[in-house]
Amino acid sequence: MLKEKIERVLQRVQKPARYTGGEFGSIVKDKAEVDVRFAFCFPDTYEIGMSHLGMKILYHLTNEMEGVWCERVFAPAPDMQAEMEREEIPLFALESRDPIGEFDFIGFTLQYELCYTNLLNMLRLGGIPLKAADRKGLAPIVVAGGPCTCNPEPLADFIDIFIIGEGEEVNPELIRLYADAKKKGLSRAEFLRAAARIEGLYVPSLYDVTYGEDGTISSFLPRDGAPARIKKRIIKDFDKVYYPEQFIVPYIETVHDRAMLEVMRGCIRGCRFCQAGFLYRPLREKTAGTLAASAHAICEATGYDEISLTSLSTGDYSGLDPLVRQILPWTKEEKINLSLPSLRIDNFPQELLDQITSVRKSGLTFAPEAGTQRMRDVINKNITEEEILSTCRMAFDGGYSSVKLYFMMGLPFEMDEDIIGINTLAKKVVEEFFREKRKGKGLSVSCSVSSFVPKPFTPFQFDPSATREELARKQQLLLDTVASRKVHLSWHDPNTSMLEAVFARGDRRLGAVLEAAFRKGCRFDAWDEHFRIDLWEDAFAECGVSTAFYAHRARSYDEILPWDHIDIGVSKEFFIREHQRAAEGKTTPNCRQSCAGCGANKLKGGPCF
Amino acid sequence: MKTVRFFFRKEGSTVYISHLDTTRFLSRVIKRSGIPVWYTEGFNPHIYLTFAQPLPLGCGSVCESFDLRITDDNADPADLARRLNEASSPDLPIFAAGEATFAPADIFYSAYRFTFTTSDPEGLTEQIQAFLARKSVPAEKKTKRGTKAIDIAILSSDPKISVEPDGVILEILLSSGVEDTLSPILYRSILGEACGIQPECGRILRTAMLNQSKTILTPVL
Repeated sequence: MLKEKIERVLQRVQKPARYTGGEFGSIVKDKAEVDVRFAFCFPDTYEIGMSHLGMKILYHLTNEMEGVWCERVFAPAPDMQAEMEREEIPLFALESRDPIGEFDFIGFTLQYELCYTNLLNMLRLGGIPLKAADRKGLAPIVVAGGPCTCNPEPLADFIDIFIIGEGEEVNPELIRLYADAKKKGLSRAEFLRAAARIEGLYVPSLYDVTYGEDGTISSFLPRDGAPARIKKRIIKDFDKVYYPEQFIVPYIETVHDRAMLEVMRGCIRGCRFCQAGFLYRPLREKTAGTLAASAHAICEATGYDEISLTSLSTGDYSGLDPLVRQILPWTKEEKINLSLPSLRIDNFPQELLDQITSVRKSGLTFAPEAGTQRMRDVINKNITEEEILSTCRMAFDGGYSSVKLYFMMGLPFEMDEDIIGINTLAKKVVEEFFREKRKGKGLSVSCSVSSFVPKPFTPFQFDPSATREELARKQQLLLDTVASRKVHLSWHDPNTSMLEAVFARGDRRLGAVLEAAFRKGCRFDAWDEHFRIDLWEDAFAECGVSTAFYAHRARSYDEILPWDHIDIGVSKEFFIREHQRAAEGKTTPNCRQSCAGCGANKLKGGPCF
Repeated sequence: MKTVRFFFRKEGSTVYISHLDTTRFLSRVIKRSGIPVWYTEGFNPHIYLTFAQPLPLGCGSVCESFDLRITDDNADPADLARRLNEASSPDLPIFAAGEATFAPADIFYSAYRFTFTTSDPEGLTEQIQAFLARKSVPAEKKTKRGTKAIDIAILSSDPKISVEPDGVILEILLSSGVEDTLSPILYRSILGEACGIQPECGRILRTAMLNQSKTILTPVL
């Protein structure tokens, strides 16, 4: 009956292949022979979720476990949701088309804060009580992992267990603990208490928070034997970590639809605005041999004709040269394109570069992040104007005619000169192009200027984010000082940035706001066409919560931050030091040049390099 | 080098993928299968795939085909089809191969089978019969250049109605030539509107492609 309804609805919706399942490489098991069913939920559309490497890894890893079946669930687009509500179709998993309410685990990956209303929406469509406290019986257990769980507090009311750090080892531990609990007939409370003892698992219901008169946290205390701090899990021997050889090959085009090769985790750079740069420390690389074998196996199994080398900064991967030399011969033979990050191609051997066909002569993207050297020093983006211009020169010489430059505005310690500097730099790039007579298409320099949002576990976690008025003023300043017709500017909606700033550094009191906004109809907040700031403002007003308190307030170094109980390995002292250096405009060398003493090497049990 | 024609069915999940997505899917099937296929020359070599005729999204089929250039003249078409089928999804079986016996321009009609689920098969049968009896059914077809006025009655022929356990079955030929193509999706929506049924109640299956004298060109199951 449900299956028939789904078929009927598929005839009516846009891009029905988002909801059919059945793709090559997807895994179907016999329900009768499965003990634990895991619904892996991505709180955005299929095309975005299917591009996410973490989900691919954990999907196949979980399905390799005997007696466990992991399926995929994505947020239905608004047209599908309307049809589902009309036909009373509960949210279902793609592989079996069974309602997610029948699963043991409902696991979300949280990649950005603006997906939180989608998470609540998916729970509701699945008929699952939104609040963790309202769920009875052992199943379903609602878990969440991914980078946003470094500050899980805004979702504390809704999630049973947060998984802090990398999932390859801890996910199977959690699933086995559950399978055992199911066999023994443990209650939900008993199971959650047991889960809290596994390193990397955070059970928010086992902690009590109190707030002081000024609204900041005055105490955060564990109960029932839960640890005072939850330590991030990492894979110590990254070269030996599980990596799938089979990927699901989507029927429809997704954002990244190619063989992805994860060359390393972590980043040596220490850019002060970048949360990922600190969150995934310490740096761990795979060997070129492992990667080459993996690349070959994936292409053979999937039929992909494109490989991309992924990581936070692939140009810093120390085995890049040997890896490319190992895979180029067969990629050429098999007509497979290799795509390399365009960043820092300046120190890559030209002869290899020439052989990589897929470095197509269309567009080059590049991230100076700030317009002046002073500002780049403040954010520790250790790149000079000369390096930016010489890379552009190389690109122009190689036939590129369009360049996209990424910048931020609203950074801490920013002055108007830094905003004007964005246009000055863009103009210099234009001048670089016309220094020589060039053939081909006309030049286009696009500057995408996003609004900076301070994130937890960065040196800027203490800083206020720029107000909407301030961002609007700076955007106008940017427009007023644009110096060339070849330069195109774009930026983000300041309202979206404000909301992101609130939730990034929020605490448990935001749970009520989130639920209120969801009930008013907020969904897909990261999508301009669906974002409703008016509904959000109503929700904040109704709950008596000030956005300025979370977004635009400076934190003192000794304030108890909502995420202080999460231990990502990098110490608060380090962030304070880095914050002070930022204020002085002093840069910090990258991890290979010298150790800055962030503390992450403790996770590895030895020095990083 | 020789050209080999492969026949495939679209069922289950692959009913919901567009022609473009089907092309990409098949390119990957070919790559996975490792059969000796010819690539276009040039900066961005790709597999040369040609189809008899695209099938609209939402329709199943038992008679789709594509042509491939095979570099090994001694390769056995049946063996190639077997290898492709192994590399494909169960929802897109590649079931036969052989020489390219007709050109896309030879196709004038497609045979479709519509299955309408209903609680009142007799009533619906009568309504469909009344619809089929109309001499003229004007409709508007969306094209790249705007809308075009067409007559559905002229572009459809040889209907057959029957009642089976899963619903009322209408088998009919729709014009499917280089000009005057009538989409089965459009046909279903006009028919559905006339008979007061939800269009999604009708499943669509392409069963054959025919030439100008209505001889079936594709394999008969």
